[in-house]
Amino acid sequence: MKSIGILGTAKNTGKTTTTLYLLRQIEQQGEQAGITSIGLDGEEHDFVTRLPKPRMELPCGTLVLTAERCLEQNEAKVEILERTGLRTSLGELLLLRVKESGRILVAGPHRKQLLEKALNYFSRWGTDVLLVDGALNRAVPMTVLDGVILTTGAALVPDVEGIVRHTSAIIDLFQLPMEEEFTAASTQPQVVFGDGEKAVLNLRSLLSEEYLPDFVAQINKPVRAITLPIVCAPKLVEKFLKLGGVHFTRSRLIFSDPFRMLAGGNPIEWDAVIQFHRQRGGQVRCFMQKPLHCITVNPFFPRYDPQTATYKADRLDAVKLFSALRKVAMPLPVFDLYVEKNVDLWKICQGGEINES
Amino acid sequence: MKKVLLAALDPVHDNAVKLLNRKLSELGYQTIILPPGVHENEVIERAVQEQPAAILISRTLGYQVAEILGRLVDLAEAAGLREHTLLGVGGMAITRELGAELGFDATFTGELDIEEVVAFIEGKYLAENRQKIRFRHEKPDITGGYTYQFKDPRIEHLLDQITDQILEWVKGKTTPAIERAKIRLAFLEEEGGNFLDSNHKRAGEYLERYLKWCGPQVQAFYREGKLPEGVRRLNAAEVAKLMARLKQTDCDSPRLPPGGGKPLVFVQYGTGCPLMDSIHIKTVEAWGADGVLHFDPSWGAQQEGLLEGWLSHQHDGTILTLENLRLIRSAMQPTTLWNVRGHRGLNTPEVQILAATAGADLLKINIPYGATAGGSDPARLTVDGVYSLRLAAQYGLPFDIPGNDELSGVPPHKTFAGMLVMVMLGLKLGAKPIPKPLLCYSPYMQIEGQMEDNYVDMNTAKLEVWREIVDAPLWPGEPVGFMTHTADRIQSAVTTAAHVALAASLGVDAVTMASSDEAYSKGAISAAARVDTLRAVRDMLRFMGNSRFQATPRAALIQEQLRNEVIAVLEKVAQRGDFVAAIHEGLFGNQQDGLYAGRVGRDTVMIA
Repeated sequence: MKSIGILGTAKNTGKTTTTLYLLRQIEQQGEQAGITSIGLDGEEHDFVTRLPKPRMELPCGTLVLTAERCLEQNEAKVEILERTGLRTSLGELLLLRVKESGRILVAGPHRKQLLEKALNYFSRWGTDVLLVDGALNRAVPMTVLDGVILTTGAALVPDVEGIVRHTSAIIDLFQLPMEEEFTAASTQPQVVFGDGEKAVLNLRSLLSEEYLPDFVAQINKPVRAITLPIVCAPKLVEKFLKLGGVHFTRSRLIFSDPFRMLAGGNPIEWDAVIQFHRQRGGQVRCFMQKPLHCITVNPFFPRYDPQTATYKADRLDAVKLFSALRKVAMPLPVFDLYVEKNVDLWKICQGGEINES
Repeated sequence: MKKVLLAALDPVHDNAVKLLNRKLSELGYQTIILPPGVHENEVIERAVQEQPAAILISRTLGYQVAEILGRLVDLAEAAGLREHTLLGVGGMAITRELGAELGFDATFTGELDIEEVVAFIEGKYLAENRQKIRFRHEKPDITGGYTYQFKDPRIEHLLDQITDQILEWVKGKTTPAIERAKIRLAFLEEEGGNFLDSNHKRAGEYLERYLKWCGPQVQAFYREGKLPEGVRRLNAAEVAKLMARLKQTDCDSPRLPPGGGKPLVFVQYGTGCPLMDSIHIKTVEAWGADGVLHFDPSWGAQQEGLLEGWLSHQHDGTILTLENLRLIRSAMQPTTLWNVRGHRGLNTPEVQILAATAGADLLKINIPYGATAGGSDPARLTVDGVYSLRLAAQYGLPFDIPGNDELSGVPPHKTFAGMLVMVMLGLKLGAKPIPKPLLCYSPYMQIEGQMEDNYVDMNTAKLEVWREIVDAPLWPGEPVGFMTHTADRIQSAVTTAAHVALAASLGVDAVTMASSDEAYSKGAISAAARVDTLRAVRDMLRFMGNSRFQATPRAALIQEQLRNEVIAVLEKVAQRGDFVAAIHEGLFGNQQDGLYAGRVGRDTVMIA
């Protein structure tokens, strides 16, 4: 089974549209598709902006994992295949098969551990491809999937330059090289000195200055590698590097994975840290990497109208947006699925040739 | 004991976490409370250090709520906390949908339910699995604990005289309504109920006997299938669909008085459509009402005989048919108290039978009121009323005595005198009366300028004088605050709530309240208006708690005057020696007061 996460940079960037686009192609190939969400998808209206959302209309035969309470609002006819015993705030997760196409409210495994267990259920019921719809500001559960598609757009920030900077920074995180020499043997950070000596840092997270280890300021010999398999805020990492001073330059800085980095802070701030370390002759790597298959972009954004205290649909200049994004994303393909109806997304996710017809 | 980390991700609103902190500490949990306005990074960093069993987050402000909380959840995941730390969220900005989208393990909405929070911390998923706590288990008996002893022998003696005369006078008399009631009773005993039921062998025979005592409109309905203007039949499919939906709806809710207790709160309905009524009833049940009162259309009361079937019509008041009543009852919570009005028209005895058959808990009979102000002929209603009181006694159902003739301009002492006659009459016939003095700003008070300083003194005196006279339950209605309402819904909700609070403060057993658009809806009362009045009442009762209104010394003077005036009226009625004539002659309210004897059903009393 192959699992693909749909990771959005904000609400209304087109996660559901991308999921459904891909789902249709998988079904057309005769493969058994499965779908779930780490958030809540399929609502008629966005619960923040009240704007209509794309209908989560699933074709007959699709396997779905959703919470029991969502069933009350389903329009599709479904068959319960298995009760998983996995619990969420909306009740037990049930594995369903769509018997008659229609709208479905999907709220699946809400955390990483549950998503990992959910994979087994899908696999056991013969799923070939599992699509996992993402949720606002939540990337870490996707760690257990085989790869991701990034969806972004004007809903993140309604200006072309802002979207491009942000997207480019995320792409950079997914392109950080995998660490091959050192392993994340411990969940605690380590400093490996040039002479082979190792020091374990008593640090379980790096999110506020309060816990910046004094130890770093006392380092008096060159460091070869620093492993940080913990959650870190980029600004704190920068401070940490500066505390280490000259001994940290030219070192190899190793993080756990791009998802945890995204959880720790803004990708643009991460980009600054990475550039800072690289400029001082250092390298930045990850213990784990996942393929980023492609990027889909939604030029639509909800514009707040203070006169009526409501949101209204607005769009950015798509031509400008796409040409700028494609330039920074290269060779990663970038699509507007609202306009491009013949993109073979499924092939791209399988690592195939890019088809930009 | 388990460790719980509490944080308000909000610059100032941290009351909820402080409250949780106190309650959880009292239960022995080790709580760590972070200052308001803490950043999500700091929450997670602290959690990483403390490794709590649960993190409970509160958020009031809606601005950026999804972004901030989503990030906090992802940070918790990235920090490896989620394998052993539960994440819960609550607060004004939080909905169940938002909590699910953000990936919290639990979302707490509405008022803080500490049991639910504790169950969550203990990993028990209480909200989802537990049997819902039932707020109501049984129907309270409003008349329970009252002796009905008269405390003033003079009044008791006068009432004795008056009611003896009434009972003597009605002897050997009958009316078309009583004849219909007898036929209806006999038919119901044969497990009938529906005259047009072709499966019931003797339905046709009963119908013919029934129609002999009916007016032309009712005869045309049964004989020609002709519906009165503006009436339509509901079809089985629309009834089945809505009722199936309503039966799935559990509207059990906490009672309005904080901690339960008195008073029971009643709401009137009568939208014209029994299905719409059911929705209104479910709405008021969900917002804490204890009971409802059925109001029928005035035209229905002015014709001899009742229709049958599921009938809806275009104007106020829902048509009294056995099927409509059964339908409405079936949609109610079993614990909801139900009163069916039927005392002002030509079908009073039959209405008691249908109401009792459909499962009513309370009936409503007041002869002096029902026989004036557009009501029935006094002689006719006296005969019908006595028969109806016997039925109420037979069914063991209390009956209430509204004092709404005050709204026509009658001063309270005259209204109260009439109500007292009904109390005594009911008691003599073995029924359980509930007087309903009206708390209002009546035309009489407005003209006489008797409530210019405040509404408390007069209303206090009106309730206390009853306590002085008889040990009986008190149920101000109908509804309280009448004529203090305006087209402004907030204003109306406030005056209603204030009147309920005053009544509660005076220890009444029940109150009937209006919806905030009742007086000025210019059409059907809206469910939203019902809700906002119930909310206003709940909060007013919470505001008052066990504190009391303080009337001025004038209240005692009014009370004394009222008592003396009531006695004076009763003396005149007793002296007159003819209750029916007393009504005609205006002893319970005359033309100067704005009250006229009813004309409907004149000359229909017969010798049995």
